[in-house]
Amino acid sequence: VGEISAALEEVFTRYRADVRSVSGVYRAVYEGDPEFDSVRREVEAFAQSEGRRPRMLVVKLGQDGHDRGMKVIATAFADLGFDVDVGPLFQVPAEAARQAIENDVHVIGVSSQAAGHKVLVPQLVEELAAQGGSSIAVVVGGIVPPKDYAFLREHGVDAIFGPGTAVPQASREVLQVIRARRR
Amino acid sequence: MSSAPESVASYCEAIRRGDRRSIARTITLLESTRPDQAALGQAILDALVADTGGAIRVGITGPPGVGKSTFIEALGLHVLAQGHRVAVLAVDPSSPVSGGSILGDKTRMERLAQDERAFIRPSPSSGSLGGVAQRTREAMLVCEAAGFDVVLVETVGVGQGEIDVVDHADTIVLALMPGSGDSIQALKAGVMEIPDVIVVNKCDHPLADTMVREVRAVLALGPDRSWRVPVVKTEATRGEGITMLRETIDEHRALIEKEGTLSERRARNLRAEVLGIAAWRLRRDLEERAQADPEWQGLLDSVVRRETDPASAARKLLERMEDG
Repeated sequence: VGEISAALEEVFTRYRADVRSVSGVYRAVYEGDPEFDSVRREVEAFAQSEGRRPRMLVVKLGQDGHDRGMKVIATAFADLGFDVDVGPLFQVPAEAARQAIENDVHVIGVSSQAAGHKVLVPQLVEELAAQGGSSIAVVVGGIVPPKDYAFLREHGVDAIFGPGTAVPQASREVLQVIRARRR
Repeated sequence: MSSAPESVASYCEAIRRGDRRSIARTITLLESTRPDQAALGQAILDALVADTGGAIRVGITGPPGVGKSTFIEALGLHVLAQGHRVAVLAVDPSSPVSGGSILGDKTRMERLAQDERAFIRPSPSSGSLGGVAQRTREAMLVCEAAGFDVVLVETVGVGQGEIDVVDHADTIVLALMPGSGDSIQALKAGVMEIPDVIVVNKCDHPLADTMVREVRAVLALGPDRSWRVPVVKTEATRGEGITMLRETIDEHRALIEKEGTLSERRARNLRAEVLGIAAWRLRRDLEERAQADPEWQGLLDSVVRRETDPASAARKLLERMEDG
């Protein structure tokens, strides 16, 4: 398969799964929602006191191409006033850690739908430490069985968001996680 | 972080070593809207300034969707293969409503982002005390001090704000694509003098040659200079035309070095930068005072009530400012 793929790549070039995201969609739906507005004010207050907006990198690690959740989160957090970096699909933990450090983000949000979280997320935390980025928080969202929550927390994950988490609530928690890390 | 007592000297030492974390932190400090952080960033930059100026600086601008990131990646990989180290500084637009932004450059420059000899930093266009053009230049200096000998600065659009961002580059590349007629309009409307090289990307498009002809026709109306702006066709996803583009950039640089316009250009940019920063600060002071000073507010209100016209109100403001 590798040789066939390589031969095809030479002719057709490699397919790149571009992550396209739009902003403003989420805001349009939530306009006027008191919870949404109060989180936005919190984000503004953070930007005032820290000198910049909260900055989050959303990543997909390993063989997991389900990027819808990542796009929704990127759009929603940007609409709440975050600066959101979007990582490419199929990233390995070392690359994600390096990208987080180069972009100097406050937090990495791992979107996981393909059950790789127990291997890839601890690797990401280790890579961050090895590359000098241990001050960067790590949160996980997506399909994670509740019985794995404790395991992830033991391995350096600051917060986990399962299906059905409301975005304003999640973003408020992310802000708290960032603040806690900075102390 | 903010609590750790990190000295200017240790930052400088780490940056000269090429430490990614320190380069990234320093760029963050320079982008900060908090005066104490910005001051620390400035102090670091001040100590590094002797190590700067060594890179080939290329500014890349053009309308969204023409494939800038793709061809920056191709160009970046090309110069890496020639033994250079490359830094990419990209400005992504912040939402004027939420203030937030989506920064996707590493998605679009995946292969370049994986290379140890590359450093890619996207920045949101809002924030910072000094405006986006100033801090992009400062980030460029940090990258130069860290030993990156090719710096590519990317911005979206062809308006004045974007031109300011790339204005510090030695060579300015304008990227277009076939079928985008409005960019030809922009060329006609006066940004024609800005680019040193024009790239027509996606040149496998059936209208590519028409586009090249149109661009050449517009350029032919321009002033006669020693450098005739070349039009390079690329197909960045396949890497076609990238060698040609690289050679064209080298030729341009060789010419401006020989003619002395490189140092002239950099000197002019440095002078303009000082005035630009001063103007930015004055503006900030003006706006702060307009918020705080009741006398000024009264004057502004009188304009709203159509009792004073804007020009004379502005004159009065300036007179009062001089009086202290």
